[in-house]
Amino acid sequence: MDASLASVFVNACLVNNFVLAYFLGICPFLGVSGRVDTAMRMGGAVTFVMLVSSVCAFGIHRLLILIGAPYLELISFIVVIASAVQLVEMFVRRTSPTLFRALGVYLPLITTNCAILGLAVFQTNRGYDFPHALAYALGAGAGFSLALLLISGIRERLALRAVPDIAQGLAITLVVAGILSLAFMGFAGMGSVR
Amino acid sequence: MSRQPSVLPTMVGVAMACGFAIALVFQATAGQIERNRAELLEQAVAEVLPGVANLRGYAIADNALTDAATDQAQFIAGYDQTGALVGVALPARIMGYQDTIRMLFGYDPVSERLTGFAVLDSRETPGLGSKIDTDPDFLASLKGLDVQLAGHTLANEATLATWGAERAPWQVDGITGATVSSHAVIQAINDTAPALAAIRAQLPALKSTSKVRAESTEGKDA
Amino acid sequence: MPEELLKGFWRENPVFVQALGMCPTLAVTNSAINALVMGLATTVVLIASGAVISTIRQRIPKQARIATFILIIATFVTCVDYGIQALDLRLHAALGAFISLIVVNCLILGRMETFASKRPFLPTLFDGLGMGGGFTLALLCLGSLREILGAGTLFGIQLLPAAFEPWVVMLLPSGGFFVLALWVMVFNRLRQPNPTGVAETRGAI
Repeated sequence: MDASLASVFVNACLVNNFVLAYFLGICPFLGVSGRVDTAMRMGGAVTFVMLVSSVCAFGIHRLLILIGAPYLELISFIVVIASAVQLVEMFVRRTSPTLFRALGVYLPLITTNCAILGLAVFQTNRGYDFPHALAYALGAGAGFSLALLLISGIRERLALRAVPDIAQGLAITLVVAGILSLAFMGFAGMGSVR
Repeated sequence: MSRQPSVLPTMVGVAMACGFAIALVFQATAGQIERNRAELLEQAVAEVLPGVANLRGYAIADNALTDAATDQAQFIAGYDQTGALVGVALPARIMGYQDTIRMLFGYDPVSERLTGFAVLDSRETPGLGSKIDTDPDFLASLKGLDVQLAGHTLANEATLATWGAERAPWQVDGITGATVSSHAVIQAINDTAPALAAIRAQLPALKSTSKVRAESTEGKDA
Repeated sequence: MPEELLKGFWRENPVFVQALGMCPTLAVTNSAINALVMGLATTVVLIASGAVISTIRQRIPKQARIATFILIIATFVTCVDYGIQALDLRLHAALGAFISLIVVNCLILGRMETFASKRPFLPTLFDGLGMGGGFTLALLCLGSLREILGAGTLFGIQLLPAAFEPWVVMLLPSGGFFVLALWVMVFNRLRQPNPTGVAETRGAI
């Protein structure tokens, strides 16, 4: 692979932020981002699941190529992701019941988080080797958490402002996300070929 | 209240049915997908190697030329109607602005120049980076680009032409607003130097193969 | 029956009202044709999965239902993926990985959970058709506006005069966010019987 680990990380975190550039993980982005502390915990949980899924996706891809059944890739990925989320849920429930209650229904919803499956699919399509896949997963998780942190901070303040009726809730959040996305375009070219 | 069906047999049953259905659809569509892929590849090669009539995929292993299927080949040699070598289509990939750019270079090992350039797959910014596929000046400067070799690197590394100065044969006209994308293409050209060197080393074998094919097709058509 | 069909288009529109399936809505709507194909692909998966799940709903154990739904949805998504590849490879490349991502479209899983697993075959069929239709409609609204403003074309046909300088931002991710926000606001305005203007402050959402 010609790209360095650092550039893969920076690319996934800033330049091609999973939420603001690839539109992955929008559902939790719009749903969990009301408060900063919940958002951060969600970011942490997603990053962990991303790392686990990345490792598993790497292994599954190699295995399926070996047995000549590439068509089972999607279904295997999603099964692994669902299991990883189940494990995380059990782990969180045992170690920190308060966190478990705080995350509520959003924890099992990580399974349908397109960012996790998107990570597995992109990483496979780009043919990353193991170190690069890990860097990619870390970068993606960091980028997702960063985007979540930014938007939740803004939404906390937005809640105290007078927003027009028709724009309340979904619409105004989308406009803010659009502006954030524009801002992140300023990272263009970082860590790429020059 | 009906009895709850047990979990394990149901899951296994569903999983097996799903796996079976997927395998079935895969087999049913594999042929057509292959045909589509081959057609796209032929179109792309025809774009970069003008006047080509026959294609042959090759790979180089241990300094020896080996046949390979066109979609898995390291490069594709194109021959015209008479069986003469037109050039070689070399796929390349590099990280662009948004995502990996996959491209195809047409290379003439005899004159040591590029014969053409085509973008196979790009996610560059629409209207800006996507112009590497359409900008006429950029494309025109790529056609005929001097890629003379000095050992395993280019004698003159490809660079962007400076505004106002005379454009050297190894310089490419840049695209306004698509700096990262154009730089990526140029870097990809420089990166192909080892591959170009390997192809040049096999030039006699490539040319003689074409003669053999011409004889065999003549024999068939007669 | 008509009720099941129509509610997906207006009253319970998946994108504008329920805010489901946002990821593909924003990602593949940079042109009208991409939006149409994505919408149709999702509708096919929705109807097919709904049909199967509705038929076998008595046999699915409660604890394993999400896993079963996902398995079935993933199967149909894989089939649709290969179908599109066989149809047109360029279209497949344009939609990229987002065809595979249909499997995690919260719309489909949500419908299976709230509707298909509880209702018989025919209503489920209509529900799938309605929701899929509403989803496709929403995608088309976005895709058309983004393509017209961002490239001056619609389905590849030049609509605006050549003198029009396209608003490239519409084809970029930010444009997706802005255009969707615009449509949501339009939708909200149309659904409001008595517009009241600026709302008083509320607590954190």
